[in-house]
Amino acid sequence: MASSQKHVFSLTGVLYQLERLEARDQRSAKPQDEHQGLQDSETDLEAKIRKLRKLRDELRTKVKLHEASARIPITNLEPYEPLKNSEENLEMKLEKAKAFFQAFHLTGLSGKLTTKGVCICFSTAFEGNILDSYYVDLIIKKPLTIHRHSVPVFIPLEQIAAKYLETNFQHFVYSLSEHLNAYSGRKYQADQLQCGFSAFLARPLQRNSLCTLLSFTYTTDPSGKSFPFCARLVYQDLTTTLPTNVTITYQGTGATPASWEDQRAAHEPLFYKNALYKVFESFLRVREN
Amino acid sequence: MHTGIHTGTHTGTHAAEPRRRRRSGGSPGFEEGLRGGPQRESAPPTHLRLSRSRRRPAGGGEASRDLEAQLGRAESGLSFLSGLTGVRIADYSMARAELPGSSESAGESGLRVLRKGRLAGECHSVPFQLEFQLLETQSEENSSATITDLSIIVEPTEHSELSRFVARTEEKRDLFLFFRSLHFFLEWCEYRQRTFQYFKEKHPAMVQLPGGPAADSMGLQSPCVPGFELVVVWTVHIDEGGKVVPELDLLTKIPEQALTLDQREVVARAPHCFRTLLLLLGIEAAIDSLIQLLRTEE
Repeated sequence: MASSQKHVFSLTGVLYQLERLEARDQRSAKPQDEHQGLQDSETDLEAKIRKLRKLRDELRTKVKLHEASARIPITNLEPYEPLKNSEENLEMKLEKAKAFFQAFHLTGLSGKLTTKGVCICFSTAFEGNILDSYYVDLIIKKPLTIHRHSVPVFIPLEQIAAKYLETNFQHFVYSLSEHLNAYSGRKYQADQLQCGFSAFLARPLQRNSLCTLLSFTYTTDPSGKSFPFCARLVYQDLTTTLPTNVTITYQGTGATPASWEDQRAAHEPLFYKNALYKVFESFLRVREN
Repeated sequence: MHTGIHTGTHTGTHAAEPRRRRRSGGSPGFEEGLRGGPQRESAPPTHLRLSRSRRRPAGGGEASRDLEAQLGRAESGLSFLSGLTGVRIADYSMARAELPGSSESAGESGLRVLRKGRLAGECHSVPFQLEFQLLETQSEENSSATITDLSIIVEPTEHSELSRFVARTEEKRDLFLFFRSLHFFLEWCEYRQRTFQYFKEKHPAMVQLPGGPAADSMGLQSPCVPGFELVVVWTVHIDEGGKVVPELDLLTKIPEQALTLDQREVVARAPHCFRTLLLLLGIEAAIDSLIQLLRTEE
């Protein structure tokens, strides 16, 4: 349920339209007209307004939910400076406790106690870039059950829960955090490649939803004069952001020149060791030199 | 003669997870955090009575009771999180900082806010202190946050791996990874120490811990056949991606005379066989079977 801001804005665009329609209806309802035709169209409009109001309320709740789940908690940190006062009164202690509570977002794991259990918030990041956050709502009872969550379906949440939830809760949380951070990191790398280095891609990037299989064709020379490289990256370990298997082939007819083979041999280890966009940044630097 | 055949064994965190033999299931802080709440509300501490008298009498008592309740809830939430993450926060501050460069660019690139923060505390009783800078950018389409600077100080421990890992994490500015990898690393070190201590207590004559229980090697000697020694080396390694991987090797120490009699190449194959044993039985059972092997010589 970690959605992009674009989606939220389209929903609020519709809300804006609905509000305008409602205002227009209120304005047009004022003059009392005896014409039957006008009255009929008025009742039609009223029915329409009712329908649209209902839709508006539904969309409003949807927006709220989306906002709640797409929020990046680390940006909600309020400024806090501890007062160097030896006698802390109750208010200061409360301020301090609240600030420390917020500070937990910096560890990547935070949460709060709810009426029936606990809600844990997982923040993800990749190399300093703060990415989506996910939450898991648990109900405290025997056995511990997951009430609600915003974890995508392709993350093996049930397997991790079955393995650790009952026996070692801390390990469950950290293991899930590993998976989510790795997924976020892979997705970020794929997105960066798609948007930032599209000039290098001869064909659009293909990926699966878990971003463990990436397939793309690239050239080191965006003007298209050099032979393309067809790369396939497989990430077998769900908790890592670097591929476990890299194959670069040539898909075309004819033999490849020796220079292509040399380049291929040089590129392959780069993909194993560096983030995707870093590899392409190095191509960019080579081209500029 | 010392025959050291050093081969790495990659027993990933999935094959043999740290098993908690001596703790009951579930993290203690989790339940403690839940129990902490109600208890706090029933017994107001003495200093509160003083503060109550200083307040204005109209509704003052209720306000402080309410504050007390809020404080109790906040503190129980904090202790829950500490139990959950293993991180205890001792000090924290966050302030808005001046953006380097001109502020006139705010119009085109959207709103940019730079925050500077400090966080200090303990992660599984290893003290840490970190300072970071967080840059938040809000444009029309999306908002993003990036950590633009990160500086971490971890108290020097006997784990030399940690300093290299900390340097790498600072470079990559991966704040969350720091906590995650530190947690897994310390968990594995704790598990290693418990395992070594367990075997030392069970077979005091046979087991030698040359570096102490927190070190990374354990020697096994047969009580009746001198000169033969098996050394289990267990290192906890943090790789480039921040993944914590325990590596177990077996070193053998055999007298030269015995080596000449070794026609079936038992000594040469020992590390490989130990690796297989680890995959089949797990760490504890594999070490136990090594000990049994040496004991049957009696």
